[in-house]
Amino acid sequence: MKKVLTTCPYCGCGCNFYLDVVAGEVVGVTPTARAINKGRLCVKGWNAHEFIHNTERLKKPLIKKDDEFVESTWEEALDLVAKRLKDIKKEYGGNDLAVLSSAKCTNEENFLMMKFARAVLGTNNIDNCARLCHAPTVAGLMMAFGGGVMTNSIDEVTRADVILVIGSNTTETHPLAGSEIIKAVENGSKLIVVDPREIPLARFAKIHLRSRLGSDVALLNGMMNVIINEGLEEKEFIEERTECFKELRKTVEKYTPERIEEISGVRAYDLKSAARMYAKAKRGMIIYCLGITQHVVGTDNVLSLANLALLTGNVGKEGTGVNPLRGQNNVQGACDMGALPDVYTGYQPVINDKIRKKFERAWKAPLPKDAGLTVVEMMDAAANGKIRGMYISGENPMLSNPDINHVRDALEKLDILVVQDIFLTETAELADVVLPGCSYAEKNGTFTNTERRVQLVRKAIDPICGKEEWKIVCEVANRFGHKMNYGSPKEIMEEISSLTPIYGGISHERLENGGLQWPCPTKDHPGTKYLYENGFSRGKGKFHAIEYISSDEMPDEEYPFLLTTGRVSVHCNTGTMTRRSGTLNREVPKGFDEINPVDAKEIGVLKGQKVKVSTRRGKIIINAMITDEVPEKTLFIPFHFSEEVTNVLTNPELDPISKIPEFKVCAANIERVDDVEDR
Amino acid sequence: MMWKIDKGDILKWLKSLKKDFEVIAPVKVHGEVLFMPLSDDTEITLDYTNTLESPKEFFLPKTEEMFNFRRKGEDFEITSKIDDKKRVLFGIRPCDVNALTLLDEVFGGKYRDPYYFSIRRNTTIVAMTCVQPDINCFCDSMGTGPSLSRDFDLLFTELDETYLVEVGTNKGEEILKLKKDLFKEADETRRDEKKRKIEAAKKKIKRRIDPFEISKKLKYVDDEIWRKLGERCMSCGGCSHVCPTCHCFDIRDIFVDEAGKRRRYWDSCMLPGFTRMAGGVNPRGTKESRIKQRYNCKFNYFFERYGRFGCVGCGRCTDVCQGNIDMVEFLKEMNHH
Repeated sequence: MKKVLTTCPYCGCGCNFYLDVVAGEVVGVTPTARAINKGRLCVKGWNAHEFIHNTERLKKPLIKKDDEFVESTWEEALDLVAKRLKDIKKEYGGNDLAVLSSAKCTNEENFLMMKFARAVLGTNNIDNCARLCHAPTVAGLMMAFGGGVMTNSIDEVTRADVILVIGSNTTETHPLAGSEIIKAVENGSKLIVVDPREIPLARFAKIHLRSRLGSDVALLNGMMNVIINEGLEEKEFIEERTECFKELRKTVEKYTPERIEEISGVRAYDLKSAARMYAKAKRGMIIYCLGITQHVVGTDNVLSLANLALLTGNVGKEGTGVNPLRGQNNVQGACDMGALPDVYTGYQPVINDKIRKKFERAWKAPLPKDAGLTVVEMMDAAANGKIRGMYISGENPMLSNPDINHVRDALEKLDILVVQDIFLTETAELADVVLPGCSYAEKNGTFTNTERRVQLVRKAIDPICGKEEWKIVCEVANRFGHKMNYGSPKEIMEEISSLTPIYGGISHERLENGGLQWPCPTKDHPGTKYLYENGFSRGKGKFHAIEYISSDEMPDEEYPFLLTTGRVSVHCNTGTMTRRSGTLNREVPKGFDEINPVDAKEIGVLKGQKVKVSTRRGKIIINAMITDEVPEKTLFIPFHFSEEVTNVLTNPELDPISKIPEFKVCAANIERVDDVEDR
Repeated sequence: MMWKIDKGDILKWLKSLKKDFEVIAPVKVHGEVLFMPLSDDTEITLDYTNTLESPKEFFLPKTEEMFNFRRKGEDFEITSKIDDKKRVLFGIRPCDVNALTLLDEVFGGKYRDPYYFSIRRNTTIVAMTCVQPDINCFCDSMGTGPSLSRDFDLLFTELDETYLVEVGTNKGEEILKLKKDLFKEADETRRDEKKRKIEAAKKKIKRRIDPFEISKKLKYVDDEIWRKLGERCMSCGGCSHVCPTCHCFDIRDIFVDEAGKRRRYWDSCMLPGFTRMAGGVNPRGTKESRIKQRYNCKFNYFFERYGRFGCVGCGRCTDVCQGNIDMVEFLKEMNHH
């Protein structure tokens, strides 16, 4: 038996544990007393080994012939992939191709995928699922502070005396962070929770603001209105370290607590209490997640949080900050590695001539100048015949994108769809070529967690498909005549570090003891726990005056309910791994729709009965779960289940700045299903 | 008769056992200690209090194959896999040894578990007295430590640079004999030294509870108290995982074409799905009902069934709880009301 210390493949907390290996098989998980989680794991972590040897693991490349998948050799499959991509590039140009990289894959793999898209295919059409979750964070915090990342660290939660959690069901989606919050509350910290639902964390809150879906800008402006009116702002900090305060003050003046009560349903009294509590904190920490970002005003929401933190001087010191909880194990890393249409690694913009030349020199290839398309835009372009070929790695847009019927049309229209994954996902089913990937247990490399910590992923068993995943894209690149020959993932990180100032001091050797938090610019730099102690990356922190606008699609007569979507603790996103895990899937084996008891009574539905939920995009039949966790006239459906595809319903309308779709709000209707024919 | 062995010779002795046994010992890995089978490059350590996870996995594996099957004409050919490898488990602490004897009760009885007992039978237990407790330990209160008077094949106790070695069974004597030259006779004064070490260890234990009092009071705890406690449980199942007496498992079959295998896997009653039944009915659907069941299981139901408490005072559940639940703190507080 051997035990290999590695980093969890599930959420962005980045806990560590050992994988137990017996006779070449991963059979269990052993906790570590060290690393950031210090012995703790969540239900997914304790069972993180379960999917690895599932019999459905893809073992050989597949080529679609006459609508059926036929097993092929790596040679045949990669030859075909290279040929078809080359043909499109030659005839139409690189911009008729697009790549989706994976937030589950390592930094090294993401880097290569990004390099392949740019240096080999000649396109900046590369994106990753951050588009669907924290793109507003990357954009918004970049605008406000100069860096689109979590400002502080997970272990600083217990240093905060007031914690404001907004749009985050923390104990379900980021259990380690949730655990730290509970610890903080026990030690006397005060918790404010802002969420329309009665999430488990709300039970620990001093104040729970059950604001209406999508009213966050108003609510936050309202809090700032109270803070300024009562003279609670940090005048010195504002004077010395920020700009554009006057514009902000002028705007928030209009957001009186009474107006907020109208817009968000939060009582003026509670709003004032929350504002005072946060403003008076010695160390006030904001923690947020997709309840803030997945809106057409996602970037505005993030900017409003930044405003609130700047107003109260709660940035640049321990136990404070604006802290997005990144969803996946390596979505932070995928972004850091530049798997984004407008930046290279380390958020260096592609349109910057000097930077582009640096990469052209390093990669010995001309690089495209203009920013490329984002995920949802790629689907639109494919549907319009403007994108003809896609290479999708470790991503499942057939379940995770909004407006699934549109996604299916788009993908089916492509001349060539290559999908690289560990299981035959719903997206892989539509592919022309399927390339088997490797799970986290079968690779060496690094993941970067939400607090910018780059940690090692250590290989426990050999690749089940027989090939290291990072080599796949290299072999395709080589077939284009672009030499990608590395000896190991370690070497790939050396290249990354040489091109990326924030990763300048990162190397596999230096990560052996708990990883390093970037910025880590040099080989002896110890990493950075919290940001902006001595100035913002853009110089001064910038206030942005934001006006409240409503969500794109509000309830009306035809669709009188608000539908919101989210996650449950035992499953990860589209369920590719967790639904193939014995214990995890046993826990929640089916999709469900949360409905308030008052509404349930009105439409005449009992617990577990089937209901039809419909929106302007489509409809699904699903089991009802009656709970007062959701407010009246609001429905909540998790998106993990392929049998009831939640995203058939969601609104693909995008935030104009960050291009994230509005997963969190749309108008819906719900009816009881009586007739079997209705299904 | 008692023996002693120099600290430096223990590794020599264990290495010599490797050719006849799989030797499992405390090993230093990434700056912490895990029980691991010794290989050529593992570094055994004697500098540890206890491991975060109990050594229960060496008797009840996390994933265990029960049998495999293959179609044979109209019928099935079933092959059982019973692990009968010879092992030595060195360095197991008294609390964990007591846990094993509790598991013996659970897996014994009318329907003896053949898998568990085959491993148990073929493993020689070399226990190690505790001279330094961990912060969450309370073995003394549970009568499970810091040392043992029975249930070991060999018992080591640290007395400075020498370790006292007591023989409990013939099985223990056998492996001692394999490298007889490393062991010298110990005189009776060593026994007093051992007693002093144990007393000193007891004094260092910070936590004390009265399990008999608690077991009585548990029956009368108000629902509201369970509800408040349950709020903090994040239903991760970690406590069951690390607990040396938790033993519940789930059984699943894996099919590949005309063959397959039946395996059992560690499970936890702290997970909501554990008691969910067909139709969705769940007798322990709330967190408070599950945590109430867990504490009653350890302090009442075990006692009712086997005459002993199901908790051995190792404190690991507190170490790994995501909701920061400290069982001892809770029980003490409950005891006061």
